[in-house]
Amino acid sequence: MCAYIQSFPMLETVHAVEEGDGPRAELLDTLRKAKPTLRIVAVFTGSLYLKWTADVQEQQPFMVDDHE
Amino acid sequence: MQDVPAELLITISTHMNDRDLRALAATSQFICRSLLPEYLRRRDLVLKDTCAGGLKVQLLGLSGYASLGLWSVAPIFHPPEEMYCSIPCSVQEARTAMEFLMYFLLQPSNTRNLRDFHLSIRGTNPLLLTSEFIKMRRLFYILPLTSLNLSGYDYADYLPPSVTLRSGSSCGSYTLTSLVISSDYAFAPGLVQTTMGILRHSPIKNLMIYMVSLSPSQWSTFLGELNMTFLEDVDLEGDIPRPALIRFLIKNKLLRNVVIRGNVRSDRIQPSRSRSQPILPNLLTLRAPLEVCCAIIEQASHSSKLYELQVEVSRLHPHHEPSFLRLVEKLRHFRNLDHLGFHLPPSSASAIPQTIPHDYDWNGHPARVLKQVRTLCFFQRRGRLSHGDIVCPHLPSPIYPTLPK
Repeated sequence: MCAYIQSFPMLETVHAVEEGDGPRAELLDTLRKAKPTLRIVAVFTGSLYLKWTADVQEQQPFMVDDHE
Repeated sequence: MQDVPAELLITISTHMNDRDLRALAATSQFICRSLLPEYLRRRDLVLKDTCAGGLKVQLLGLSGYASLGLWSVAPIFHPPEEMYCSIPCSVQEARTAMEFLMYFLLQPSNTRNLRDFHLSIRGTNPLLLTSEFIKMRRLFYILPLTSLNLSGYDYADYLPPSVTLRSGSSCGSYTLTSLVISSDYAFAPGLVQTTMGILRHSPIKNLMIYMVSLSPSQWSTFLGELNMTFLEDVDLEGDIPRPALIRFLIKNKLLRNVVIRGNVRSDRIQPSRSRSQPILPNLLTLRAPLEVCCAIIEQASHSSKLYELQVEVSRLHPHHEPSFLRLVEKLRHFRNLDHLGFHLPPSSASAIPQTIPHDYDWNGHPARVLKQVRTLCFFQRRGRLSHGDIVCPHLPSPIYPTLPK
């Protein structure tokens, strides 16, 4: 069992940038669990971007720092 | 008259017809400053910041100023540091606008502080502006610009033959350090000689060229003509033959940041000297298609401080592409490489998702040797990143079954 991001032994941060619509909490969750020590910075743009950030701001910060 | 508050002048002006308003505005700079915004607003013209003593002049619909006989407004412009001018598409209006622009720019008192100049030509066939371009040549040499931006959209069927790119003025700017070209008119008759002269004879550190229609042979000629002693940052987009690109990179030894976008063509015949000598000794960041990254990294000096590499790949799993494996193998020599990024094409243009064999030996993956990489970046244009693309599908069962298909 291994993940692509786990191929880099000293990886500290992953940036995920996409132009797409809709909530992406699942992707963030997947990244976080793939390597628990990672700092994950996600930027999602698209027509539903504002809606998504409004919906999830209480549960899921836009910029996730997984050292919490 | 100057004791009259500006607000009252504007109120009075609303009861005047255009002719009287223009006549009144021309009587003094104070009145002109006070009334001009209202006068322009009526004609959907925009004049930003100048009346407030700002450092930027933005003239949209430039021909309007000229056709309305607003020559008198030029002296009220505070000598700007930045200037943006858009030339309208009608040929006659474009000519009038450029005359107006030159009238302003040829006054040293107007341009003594001008450092940043942006000329946007929209929709006009540049072939019909050749004489205006010729008249403008001297401006680009004498203005104290540090930044010049030539943008717009226009026809592409007038691009000059390659031989024209070999000619060019022997003059350049003494001050220009940044040049952005994002329109074909920079290579149109009347201006191409100026463009080439500026490129050859100015101390340009930052060069960006995109949205131009140069053919591969024209790119070869164009890049072959450039030997830019001061160039540090370059961003090129186009149908560029790879040998010509590599030769260009070899010549410009001070390059630190390189961005290559577009369809860079390969060629079986590589220049022999490019194989034998390290290139880009000062390289810090590189973004390019995978094949170009390979070609550059294979020849780049290991002594460079390459910090960031962004690779444009056709899919997110380039593991099985020999060129990617070759690239990773070479990257281990660059001990300062901290950022590695992958740029993906729009989802619709992606190939069918590649499945990774379940028995793939991740422990033997070449990326294992890249212990210097601390940050990994994924960029997806017009689409969404797939969980399975970034994270191997063989994730623990408590996680993966919860993800949408």
